[in-house]
Amino acid sequence: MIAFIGVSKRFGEKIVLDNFNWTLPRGARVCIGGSSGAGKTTLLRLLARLDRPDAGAIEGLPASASYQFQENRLLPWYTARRNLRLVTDEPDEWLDRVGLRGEGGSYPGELSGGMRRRLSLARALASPAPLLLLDEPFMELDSDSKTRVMDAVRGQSGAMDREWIILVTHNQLDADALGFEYQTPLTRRAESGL
Amino acid sequence: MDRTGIERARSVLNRIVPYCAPLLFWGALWVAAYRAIGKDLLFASPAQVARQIAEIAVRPDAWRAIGLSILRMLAAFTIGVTGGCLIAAATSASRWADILLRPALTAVRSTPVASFIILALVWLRGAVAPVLASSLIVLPIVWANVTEGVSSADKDLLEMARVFRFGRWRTIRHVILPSLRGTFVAACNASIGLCWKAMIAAEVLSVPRDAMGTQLYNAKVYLRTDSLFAWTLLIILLSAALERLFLRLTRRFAPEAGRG
Repeated sequence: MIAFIGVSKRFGEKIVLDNFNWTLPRGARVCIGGSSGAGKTTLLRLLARLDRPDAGAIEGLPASASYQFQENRLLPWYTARRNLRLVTDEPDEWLDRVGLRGEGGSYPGELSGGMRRRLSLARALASPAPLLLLDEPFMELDSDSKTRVMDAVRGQSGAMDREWIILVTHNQLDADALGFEYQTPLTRRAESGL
Repeated sequence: MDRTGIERARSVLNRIVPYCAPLLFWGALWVAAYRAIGKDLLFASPAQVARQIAEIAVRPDAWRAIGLSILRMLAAFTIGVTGGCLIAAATSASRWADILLRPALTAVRSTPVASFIILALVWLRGAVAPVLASSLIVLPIVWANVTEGVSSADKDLLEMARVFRFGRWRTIRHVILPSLRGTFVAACNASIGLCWKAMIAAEVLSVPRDAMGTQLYNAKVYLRTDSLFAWTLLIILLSAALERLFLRLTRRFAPEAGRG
């Protein structure tokens, strides 16, 4: 179980998390909702060990995480295939799963916004880690691409080695479509007056 | 002449004029200056220089001087680039290396070329001194650019590499080195011309046996102004050719520099 115990995080003057408590049992498939700027990405960064809490503790964090960043963060000097080859030996299979077959030789700068989004999702899905973090994976996707990406995420849902899947979305319908639990832990914090 | 013929002639003219016009203009100015001065000892005419170049072209010792000067310059450039990259790797990786080496490199960067040349001549003899002096011109330029490139590497990509557990060497290979390509090529382009000029200046002062700088020195000693002009022209042409060649090579071997 991953447990946030009295976690506080601030950036300059802005308090993002204040005495925040939250638990994620093993096997959790969770969609985190909430308004923009509520701290959803901060939560993911803490889970990925990219940031440390200013106060409190996070217990039970696995040693490694796989993360689809909101800004894609693809290597612009490598082709789509080579970007995936950095995390998997089967890049073509993953390109196929996210509907990018035939784009393996394209550079990220030559792909559309939606294609780059799918490529960064493929990298996160292809990378084996017990904790999978997806920050708005459906952003910039048309309905066909979204369906395909949802299938790919659903495919991960049954994977035994994925002990936690945490996905950030603004839309509860996405959580319902995926069969994930929809939580708004940060909104509750705001409502409780913290 | 029909319309197609006129257009073809105009297109040929458009291609030739940018090359011929400056040649004619500066050639005419050169002739005018030669006539105004009127002393061969002070100012050589284009015809005298052309005759000298024709003479140089058939002298085996002149070709040896040209070849060895180019070789020395390439050796100095390679030493400077390699040294600059190695020191940049050290100063980027270790804070202590940066604290200790930065002042020295800043001092080297601000030292006049002539000081290097004279010091190199004090320490070393013959053909090695120009190599050392001109490599010291290249080294701090490459170091500064590579260090700047490392420190401005995309932080988001470095975080990505951390999350996906690239490790130190894979991060260097896949994230840092490719992002350095642009600044590295820019540093090399900026320093290759300086390296060539410093090399010739050092050769003039150290007078090695076979060197273009030595030919310049001899021309001065024997008051051969036409020879001085001819060698200077050859040095300028070779400098431009080397810079162009380097640019072509970097475009060929680093076509993705700056891709993003």
